[in-house]
Amino acid sequence: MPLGSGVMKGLKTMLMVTGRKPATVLYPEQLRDISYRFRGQVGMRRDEVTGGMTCVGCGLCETACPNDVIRVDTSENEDGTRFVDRYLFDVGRCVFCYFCIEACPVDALQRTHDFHLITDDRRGLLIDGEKMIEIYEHDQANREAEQKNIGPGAALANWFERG
Amino acid sequence: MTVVSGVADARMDLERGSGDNMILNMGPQHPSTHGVLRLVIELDGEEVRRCDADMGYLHRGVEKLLEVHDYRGGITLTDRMDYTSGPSNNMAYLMAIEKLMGITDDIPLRARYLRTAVAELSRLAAHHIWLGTHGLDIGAMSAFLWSLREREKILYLFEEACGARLTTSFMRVGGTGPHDVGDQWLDNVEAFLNGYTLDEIDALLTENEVFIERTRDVGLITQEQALSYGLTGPVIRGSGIAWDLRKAQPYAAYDLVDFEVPVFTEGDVYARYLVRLNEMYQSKRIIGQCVEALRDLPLDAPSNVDLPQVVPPDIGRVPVDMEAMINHFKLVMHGVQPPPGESYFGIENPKGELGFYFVSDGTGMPYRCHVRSPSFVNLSIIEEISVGSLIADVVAIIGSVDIVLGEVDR
Repeated sequence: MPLGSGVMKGLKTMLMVTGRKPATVLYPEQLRDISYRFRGQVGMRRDEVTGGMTCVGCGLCETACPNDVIRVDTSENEDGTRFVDRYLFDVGRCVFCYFCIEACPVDALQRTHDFHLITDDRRGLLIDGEKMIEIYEHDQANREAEQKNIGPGAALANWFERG
Repeated sequence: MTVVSGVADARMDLERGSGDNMILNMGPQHPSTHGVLRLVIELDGEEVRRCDADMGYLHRGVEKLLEVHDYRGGITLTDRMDYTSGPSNNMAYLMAIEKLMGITDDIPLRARYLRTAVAELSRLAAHHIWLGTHGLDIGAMSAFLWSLREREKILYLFEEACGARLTTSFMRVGGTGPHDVGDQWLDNVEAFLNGYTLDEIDALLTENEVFIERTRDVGLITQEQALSYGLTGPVIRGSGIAWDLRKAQPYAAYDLVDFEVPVFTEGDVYARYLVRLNEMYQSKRIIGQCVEALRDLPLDAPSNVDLPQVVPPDIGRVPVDMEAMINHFKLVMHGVQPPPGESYFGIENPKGELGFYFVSDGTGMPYRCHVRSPSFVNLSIIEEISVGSLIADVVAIIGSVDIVLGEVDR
């Protein structure tokens, strides 16, 4: 082969692909499609009866979390039933593994697609149950517009994609 | 001044310099060291006289952390070692635990095929990072951009299957866990394979005279060196030794798919380039076969092993079924509990043999965990093969050995 033919082959390839559409998505203005299983900030479902957190304070999420992100403080009523005083979630330590959601036996913790976690204060990353409900409901409202991207793949029956 | 060890002594001696030779610090911030590797190089003109690799800048104590997490929590740590191929690392970890528990043969076919497909996808992603940065080090800009574009598509497939792009925490002990896939994902994988443009990058680099000049007869590794250093992966296959764990000790579904192991005998940077490039074509073949096989399996085929002490029950049953609730709570609180004993299991990661060694004392956490990481072992050859080469070739050599510092330092 004559010298330079390899370089010419590369140049030819370059010419062939010049008309192609760029793959870049200009992020702050445009968002690419987020897949259904995307693991964003963990949200909390509101209990229809009490209007508060669905959490029953079993503490499984606390146990399952590999990074000590979650803290559940519970107290007992006079009749011996348990209630959640305070549910704390430290987003700054969270690695978004979703082991807590897998562990939750009452479906309280929920997947959201919220990944804009920016704050100007580290204390803003320590959120409580009410804030998690807010995040979840905000995400559910946004999900309507996202529905078209989900596709039939989401219909797959497994214990993660439920309800 | 006390000397800490022979190694530190040699490095201080090197750093002090001798005679007219120049001491050059390459890294830890140098972009071509692919992370935080520091090379102390003694230069005579442009020729390397001595080279000393200094690592440990990214040490996070993963082995110790694995010992204080339960077996499930450890999954999140493994994809942070070789962060270019997270799912593959997860699978090495999970399969080592499965071997420790003695359930390797019980893993359902669906999980085995999916693991194979995902491991090969992550091999493609990792090799695209290598191909791009290796080309970039040598001066090929387009290959880098095109490589990362293809890799981005693979990361999107990971996101669709498990929810994250890099820190995947893919699958669980005993099968796919919550990350089973449907036809939609398989369609997307097929669409990706159909539009896959490795040929274009191939056309840019493989016959390019500038690229060949920079890589041929550079960084020669002989067969003896490769064996005595314990190299694995594409580095040893570029030196003419056909050692691939996918063929030598088939795991997952590698004994059910048809593929070849590319071997080149030259032992130089170009040979290692060709090995990886051909591996990518083979990976594409394997993924195609796995997708076909997954399509042929019925949708209700099990994707997790049917053992209540390993796989949690269907979460819908937990609030209504007492046994399911006890099972679920037991599994979350105590995790899987392998019997006392020890085991080692290695898989063919993109970089080479990634092995996990566990000692279990019967509790939910490993008593001792050791990681045999391919990058760490392969890194050791750099000190020897860069001697006598030009300083500009050191960049090509580092690129061809393909290390990830997150895995070297762990």
